[in-house]
Amino acid sequence: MKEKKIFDAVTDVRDELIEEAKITMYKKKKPMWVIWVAIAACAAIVMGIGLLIPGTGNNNPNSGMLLEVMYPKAYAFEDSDTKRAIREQNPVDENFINSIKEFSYKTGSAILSDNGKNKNYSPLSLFYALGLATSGAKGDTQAELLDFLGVPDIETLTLQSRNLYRTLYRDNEIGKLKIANSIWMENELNGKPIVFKEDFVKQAVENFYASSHSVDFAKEETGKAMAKWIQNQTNGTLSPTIEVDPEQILTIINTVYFYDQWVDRFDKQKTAQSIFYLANGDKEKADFMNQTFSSAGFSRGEGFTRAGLQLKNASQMIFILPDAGVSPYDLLSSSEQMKEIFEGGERLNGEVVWKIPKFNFGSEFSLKDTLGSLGIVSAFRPDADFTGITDHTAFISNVRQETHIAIDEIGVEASAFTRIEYAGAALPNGRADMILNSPFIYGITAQNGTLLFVGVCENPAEN
Amino acid sequence: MEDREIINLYWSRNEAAIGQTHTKYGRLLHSISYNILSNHEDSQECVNDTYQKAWNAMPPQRPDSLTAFLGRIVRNLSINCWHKARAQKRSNGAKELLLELAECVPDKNNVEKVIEARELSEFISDWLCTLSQENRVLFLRRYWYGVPLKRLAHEYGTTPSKLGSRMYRLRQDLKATLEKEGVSI
Repeated sequence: MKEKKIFDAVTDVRDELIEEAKITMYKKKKPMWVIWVAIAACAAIVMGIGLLIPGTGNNNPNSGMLLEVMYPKAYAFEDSDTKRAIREQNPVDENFINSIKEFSYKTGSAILSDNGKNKNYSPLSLFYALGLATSGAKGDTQAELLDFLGVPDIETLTLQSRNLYRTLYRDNEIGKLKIANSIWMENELNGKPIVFKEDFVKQAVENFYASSHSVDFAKEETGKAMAKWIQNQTNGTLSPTIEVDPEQILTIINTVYFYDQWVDRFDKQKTAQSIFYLANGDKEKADFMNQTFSSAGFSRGEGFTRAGLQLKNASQMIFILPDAGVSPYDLLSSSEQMKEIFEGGERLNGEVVWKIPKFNFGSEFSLKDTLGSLGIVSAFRPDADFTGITDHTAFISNVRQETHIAIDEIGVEASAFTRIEYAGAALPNGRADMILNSPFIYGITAQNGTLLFVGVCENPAEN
Repeated sequence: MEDREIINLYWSRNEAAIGQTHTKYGRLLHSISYNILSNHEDSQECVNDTYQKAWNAMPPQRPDSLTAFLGRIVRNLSINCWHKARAQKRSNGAKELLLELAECVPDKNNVEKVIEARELSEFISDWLCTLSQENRVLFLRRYWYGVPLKRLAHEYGTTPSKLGSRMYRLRQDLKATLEKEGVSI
C-alpha cells in the first residue's frame, strides 16, 4: 500500500520540521481573536524597624550611602536558551523551595483565617522581607528568624534567595514577575549620623536586589518617596499611604508585581453574567468567564476539588473549590490542612468545566500580631539583635502588607502567541465542574511551585 | 515543565513523567490521533498506549524533540489502529489523509530505483526544505498533525476550497519531484 508508505515516510520527517510546524501552529496571520484574559497581582510589604536607644559616637562616614540595584537582564519570551542558562547557573535547592512552601502554608493559614472579606496575600513577598531582615540579624534573633523561615543557616538563606530571585525574575512581552526590595535608612538622629554596616548594605544588593535609600524619617516627604517607590515597582497598581515615624531608623519594603496571560484564552463572547452565592446566603451578580477542557488534570480530596490553569510564563493559577457545605476556612484551618488542599488529593484526568468570576480587589494586612502568634518573638522585642545592620539597638516595629489582584480580560492585538483548540478528548477517569459561584480559594504558583499569591475570593463584586 | 526535565523523569523511572507528559502533550497527541481515527475512544487508547511506549523507550532513548518523538508514536499507533478498524468498515479521517497522500505516489514510467522508507523520509524532508516556510508548515500541519482542511482554512483566513487547491498543488509538486528523481515507492 503505497500511500501508507508515504504516510510512514511523512511520520519520520526530520525533528526540526515537526517542531517548526508546531511552533507556527501558535502563530496566526490575522488577529482573529483579540480578547485575552490576563492576570495581574501585586503585593507590597513594608516593615519598619524602630530604634530604641540612640547610639553614641561614630566615625564611619557610611551614612547617606546609596546603592542602586542592577536588575537581571530582561530576555524575550521565546528565548528558552537564556531561560535555561539562568536556571542552570542559579540552582535553587529543593529543600529551600519546600521551606518556602511550608512557610507559605504556615503564614497563609493564619493570615487568611479572618473571614468576611476577600483576601489576597503574598507569601513570597513576606518571605523576602523577613529574609532580608534575617540577613542583618545576629544571635538569638537570627536563630529564631531562620527557624521561622525554615532555613538552616544564613549562607543558605542569602545564596538561595539570590538564586531564586534570578530564576523567578521575568520581564518580557507576555508577562512580568518583578520582585523588588529596598532599604530606607535614617541618615542621622539627634544631629549624629547613624551608621549602617557596609557589609549588610552590600549583601542586600547582591542577594536580595535591595536598593538603599538614605532618608530623614522626620520628614513627611520620606513617606511619599516610599509610596512612590512602591507605585513604580508595581506598575502603578499600588499607591499606599505611608506614614513615617521619626523613631524609625530602618524600613524594609518588598514588592512583588506579577502579570501574565492564560495559555488557553477565555472567549469573551462566552463570558456571561450569573449569580455568585455569598457565604451569608446573599446573592451577587458577577461576570463569569467560561471554558471547557475536554481532557485535563485535576485533583479531588476531602472537601475540595482543585484544578489549575496554565499561564504563559510557566506559572499556574490554582483554584480550590470547597465541596458543598464546606467553608474555605475549614480548608485553611491549619498549615497541614492548607498543604493538603494545595498538594494533596487524588490526581484525576478528565473533562474540566470552568466557570470563573472576574474579580479585582486589594487587601491590607498588619502582620505583626500574626507573626508574633506564629512564633516570632525576639525580633519584635527591644532587645532584638540586629547588629548585622547597625550597632544601634533596633527591633522590628511593624510589618504590613498590601496587595492587589485582578483577573481580567484585556485586548492584545496581533499577538505572536495564540493557542488553538485541539479536538476534544474522551473522558478518561472523571470530570470536574469548577463552577466557582461560591467562596473559593486560589493561588498563583511560579514554575518551581513557590506560592506567589494565595487568597480567598468571598465576593467577586467587592473591590 | 521543560522537555528536558520530563525526559529526566522518565530516566529516573519517576511515574510523574506520565502525568507531566499528559499535562503538556495530552491534548496535542489526542488531536493527532483523533485527526486520523475520528473516534475519541480509540484516540484515547492510542494516547494511553503512547505513554506506555514512551515509558518503555526512555531510557535508553533520549529524544531531541519530545513533540516529534511522542507524535511519531501516536501516529504509528493510530494508523495501525485505523487499519484494524477499517477491516470492520468504520470510516474516518485517515481515509482522507491516505487518499490525498496517494496522489503523491509517482507514476512508474521513469523508475531508476525503489526507494526505502528511510530514504523516502529524508527525501520528503529535503523537499520540504525547498518550500516556503508557509507551505512547509501547511503541509506538515495537514499530513503530520492531521489537522482537518476546514480548520486550517479558518486559521489561515481563507476558504477550504482555496486551501484545498493549494494543498493539491503541493501534492503535485511532491509527486513531480519524486518522478524527476526517478524514485518509485
